[in-house]
Amino acid sequence: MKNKKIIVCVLVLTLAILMFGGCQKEQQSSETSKETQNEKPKVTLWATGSDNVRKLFEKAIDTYNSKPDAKSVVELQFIMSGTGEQSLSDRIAAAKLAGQTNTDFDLLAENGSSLSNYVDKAGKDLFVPIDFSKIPNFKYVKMKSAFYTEYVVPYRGTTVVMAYDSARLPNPPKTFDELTQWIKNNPGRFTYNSPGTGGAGAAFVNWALYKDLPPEAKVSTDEKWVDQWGPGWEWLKEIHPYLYKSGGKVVYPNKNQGALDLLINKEVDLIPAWADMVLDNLSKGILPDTVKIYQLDPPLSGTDVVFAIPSIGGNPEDTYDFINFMISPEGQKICLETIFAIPVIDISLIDSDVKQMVADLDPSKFNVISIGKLEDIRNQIWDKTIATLP
Amino acid sequence: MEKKTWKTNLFIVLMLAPSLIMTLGVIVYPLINTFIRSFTAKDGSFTIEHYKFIFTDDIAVGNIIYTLWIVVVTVIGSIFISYLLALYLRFTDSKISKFIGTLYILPRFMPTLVAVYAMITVIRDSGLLNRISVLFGGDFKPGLMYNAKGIILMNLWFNIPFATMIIVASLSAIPDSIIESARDVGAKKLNVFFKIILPLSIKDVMIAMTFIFMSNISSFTTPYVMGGNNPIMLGVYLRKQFSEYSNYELAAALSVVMFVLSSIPALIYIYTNLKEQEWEKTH
Repeated sequence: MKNKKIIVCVLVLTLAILMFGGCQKEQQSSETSKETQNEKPKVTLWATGSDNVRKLFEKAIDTYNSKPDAKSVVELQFIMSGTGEQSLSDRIAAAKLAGQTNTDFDLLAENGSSLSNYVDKAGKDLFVPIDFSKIPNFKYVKMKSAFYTEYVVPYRGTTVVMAYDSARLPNPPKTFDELTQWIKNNPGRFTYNSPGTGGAGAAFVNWALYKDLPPEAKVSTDEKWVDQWGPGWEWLKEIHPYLYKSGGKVVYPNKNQGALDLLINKEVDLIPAWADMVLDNLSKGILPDTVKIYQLDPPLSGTDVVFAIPSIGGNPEDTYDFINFMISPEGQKICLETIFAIPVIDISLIDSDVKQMVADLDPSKFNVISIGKLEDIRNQIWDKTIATLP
Repeated sequence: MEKKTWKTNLFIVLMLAPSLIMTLGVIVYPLINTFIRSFTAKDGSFTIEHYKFIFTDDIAVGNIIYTLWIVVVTVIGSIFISYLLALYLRFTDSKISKFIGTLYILPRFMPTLVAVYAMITVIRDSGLLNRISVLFGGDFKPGLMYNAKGIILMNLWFNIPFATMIIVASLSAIPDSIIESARDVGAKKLNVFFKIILPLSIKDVMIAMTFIFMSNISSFTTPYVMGGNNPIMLGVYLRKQFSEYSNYELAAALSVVMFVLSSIPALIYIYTNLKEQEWEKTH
């Protein structure tokens, strides 16, 4: 009996400590933030992507919050892609559709081409129009966003390019015909990651599917375009036997990094890859310095990455100061140096040693392909027709 | 024994409550939810279309067969190797066996993803094996990546320590005296194995088989990183359904199918266990 009493006491105590501990921690943190930040409004920024995007925002927010003249306190909520990416658009849409009006979805950072996912689900009034007069640095922004221009502020560009090892491939193929011929002449030396597992492979498949389609198809989520993909699929089937093989069978690596790994290990010579991933791998010495990037003609798809303000968050006015900071030369420098992002302002305004690396990637020539829910259909067809080929 | 008062009863309930609430909330409720969803069409009406698809679509059926094949090979392979290893560890008393006895457990302490990438650096076509062969003038390409062979190799790596642990424990419980007395009356080594050691350890072998089967049928990390594009294991196929195709209802039906597949060995195990107890009673 005595033993049991002791057990009960211990149990109750542990529970109590856990509960109070939790409360106290919360109290403490809110107290300290109040003390140091003088009651500035709190802005929660929601972002999604690979780990490099998280690093970028952690650095930018640290810099911003420590500025004495910052008008708000920014906090990051980051959702790693591939683990719950779907749920950021789902979450925001669900909150909107449930009629919530006072959430902490104050500010959203997303690929311009992904915004149609949000609007598809929750309607165009999910975002509030932006008052550009409150963002003085906007006049320096050169990049035009492709969609919902009055609702978004682009803060960086990102694009898929071709990455090749110049030591083994001095003259990479530039056009569609050259690429086809090169792939056939060099069996096993080209690959792209399966489109469902990463944006680089998806961009390559899109490139094939939309090569000869009219410009309006590239930004349409209308299912009628699915029927027009035929020649693209035929071409992907045609090059299939000449791609990277393992164990005697053509296989497509999973994830963007999967294709990069094959390039790193010299198992292939040419792949489509995200420009920032290649430059990041190069700067860390993971890729040999003979690896270079270039753009195909027509280009692989790229997109602007933008800020948008959900209508269900706090006061939009509070977010403008942070947006303004991100598109200032200082903010752009952080983007460039942390993740090799393509700047949205004139590159000469940025004082950085690494700007040469992205100087060739002209955002005005970006080939924007935004097909929203058609991506699901594309992945399904790819899995059915390309993945099953012998 | 103490009398059960309302106090002790309350105490028992209180002790059980956290785990009961957790189980209900985190396992039972989602399970029921998934089950209902698997019979729901996109417009909310009742349908068995998803199950029909899973058992008639070429790709889906191919994936089920592929998964079962990998799991069965994994179970048989790891039990066979583990049993040999366990016999060696139990009946040999040397420095080497003691060393292996401490070493074999090591893979249990390594995070899955780390182990998978370590294996990839060794077996990929440009990996360690290939580089060693190049040193000697050859160009050996193992061809183990992006197909079933690599996945099975990795599964063996993960499951042999686990199975060995269980079988060693089981073999240790067999007293030396039984084996010695059998040898004394002239039983041959093979006889001792089939008449004494195997029957006394088969129950634990079954436990190990059940666990290996269940943990591998739903495996994700290894087949996702090391597997090919078609066919794919059910864990990866499930992820495709919900995160690439946004086909939540079919994903639910697939989960139910995977749940049923995992329950079969569990049921067989429970059934044989019950039978054995009855057999023990009558004698």
